[in-house]
Amino acid sequence: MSPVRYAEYFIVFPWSNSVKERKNQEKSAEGLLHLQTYQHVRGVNAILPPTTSGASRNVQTSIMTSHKEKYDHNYEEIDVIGNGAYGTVFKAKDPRNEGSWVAIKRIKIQNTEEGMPMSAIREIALLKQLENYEHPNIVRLLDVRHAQQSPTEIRLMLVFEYIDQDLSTYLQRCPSPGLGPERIRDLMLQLLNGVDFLHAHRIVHRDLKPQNILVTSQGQLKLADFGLARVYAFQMALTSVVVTLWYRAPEVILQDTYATPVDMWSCGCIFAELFNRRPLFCGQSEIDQLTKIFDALGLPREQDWPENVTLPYHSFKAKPPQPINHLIPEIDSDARDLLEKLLIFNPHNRITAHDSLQHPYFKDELESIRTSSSLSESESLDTSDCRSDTPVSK
Amino acid sequence: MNLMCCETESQRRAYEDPVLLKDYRVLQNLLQTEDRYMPSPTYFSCVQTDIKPYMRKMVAQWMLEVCEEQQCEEEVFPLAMNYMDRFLTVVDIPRTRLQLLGAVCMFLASKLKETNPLTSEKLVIYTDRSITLEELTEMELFVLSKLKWDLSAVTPHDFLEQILSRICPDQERCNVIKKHSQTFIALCSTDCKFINYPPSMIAAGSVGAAAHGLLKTDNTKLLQSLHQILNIDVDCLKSCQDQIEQTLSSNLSHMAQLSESAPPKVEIHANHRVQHEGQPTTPTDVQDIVF
Repeated sequence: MSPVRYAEYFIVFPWSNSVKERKNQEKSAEGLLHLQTYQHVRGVNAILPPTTSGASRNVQTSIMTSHKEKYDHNYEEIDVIGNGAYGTVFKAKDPRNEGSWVAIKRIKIQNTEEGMPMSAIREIALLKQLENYEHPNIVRLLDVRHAQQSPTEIRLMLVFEYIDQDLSTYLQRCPSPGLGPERIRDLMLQLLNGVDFLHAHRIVHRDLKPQNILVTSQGQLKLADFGLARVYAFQMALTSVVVTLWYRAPEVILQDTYATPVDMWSCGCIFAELFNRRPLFCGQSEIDQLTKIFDALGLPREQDWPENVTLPYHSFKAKPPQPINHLIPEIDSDARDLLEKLLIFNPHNRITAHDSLQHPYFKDELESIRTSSSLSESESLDTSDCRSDTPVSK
Repeated sequence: MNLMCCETESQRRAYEDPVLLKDYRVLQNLLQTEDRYMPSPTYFSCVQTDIKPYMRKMVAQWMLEVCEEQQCEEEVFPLAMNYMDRFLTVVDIPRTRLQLLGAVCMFLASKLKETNPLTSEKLVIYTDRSITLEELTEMELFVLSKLKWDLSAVTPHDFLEQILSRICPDQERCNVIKKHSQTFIALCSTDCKFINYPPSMIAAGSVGAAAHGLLKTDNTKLLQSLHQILNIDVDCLKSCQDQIEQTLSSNLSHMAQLSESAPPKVEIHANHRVQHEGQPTTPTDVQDIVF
């Protein structure tokens, strides 16, 4: 495919149209007039004097120019990575950064009366929030652009760093006899480190699976696609992979309330998959998924069964747990202990990301966590740095 | 086809997750990030050529009223005000666009925080149709690009939960203090004096003012523990609390004056308030919190 330059990402507002602009201003003025009356009822004695339209014209012009300057730079799209009903993922070159590779998710959004979809707004806001930390285990969002394509269509362009494989591909490509124990430990440490970072920022990923965990050629693991609906709306359309239940925590399947422990369950499933190079629980339906979980881990105690869920406890047969070695032959005792703590049925008893990083399984690698993560900064609190100047700063 | 959020489970309320409340890093991260989302307090003089502080206040009070009436989550209003201030920090707009901006900011904030966000149709109606659906969605894109899509701003409500989970073992009393604090936070968002106060300070000052008003005692001890939690100087906390109390009493006396000069309108206002008492999630009417 030949390189294409996209100039359409400039945003053009109909404000440049002077007739329409004047009309809009008149309308808005009426609005404020209404506001005045309203405020009068509410008891605020203030009125806005009329404005001169000349001043506002200049304002509009300056908005337009500043906008154009900022976006006057295009990506060179080289190859299509994925395609779907909602849009396309391109591999592209960024001319600013010496032609480094980027992945561009281009999403077509039908411009409804409700404007930008909630899911897009949330995913991007989240990624932006995390961008500042440049966490080694979170995918970088480099740029966000949008263009009004037609009155009914907006194109949204998310520019991510380019990483050529996900964990699922990485495992498929891995030759027999599979990943060594050190490689598994390193990947697991990076995974939990990324999840711990998200949780410390009050973000529950909710859809961790090998397809949205990326692995660089240097073996660095990065989490992508945060948040259930916001991503899998994109993901589903782009890869047409049916949304999988396999990594889903039992409380999610049972539709009980859930929080950070759901990600820990997924980490457990992925942990097992690193050893076996195939998914741990491959349910075909929600009931089947639960049955497969209980076949392996045993039916939980009745007191751990959540209240007020649609599936009653007694719809499942009592089963003893299988020894973990039957599920994963090559697992050692520390790894087994961590896996068991990740796959605890009751979310309140499941290990947290923060605690899992302190697990003996990682004892040799704890030093490297301290240097590479948000843990170190936040644990060593500098209390001498008193924020006394805050109200007048900035 | 459009991208729809299909979080059908999200109607269920998240439980109080100890990982999110007790982990000290969560609070640390909030304190670290809050400065990133601060608007410039000088935008009236340095950026805006037409808009004046009192205009912001008027639009803010209109926005608060809309959020109350639509029973929005408490965070929606302060978040919308944050977007508005940050937008006004970078773009000079004429006053005729201020209400449109306010509507867009509520539109965005409710999409970020609500399961069922405010609809464009409702917002247009609340402006008495002075803005069109088209203008609303166009302006939405413009605001998004000017804020660089960076909408996950820290609000005082983020700190309120963190503070109360640490200082308030008594759930019952906690709820009263929480409600009063929420009211103060909304009050601060409407008032231009507080634009340059970081959300942590507003949250702490509001908790201080709420406790002071409820208990009628000297709250030096409380301020001490707030100082320990947030690492904000006690004098600053005290001064923020005083500012909030002053703002409250000046708003109340302003209302009292109005009630003398225009009795029939106050009657309308009083009726209006009665309706609101049936809505426990919206204790945002200033008159509800005269101690």
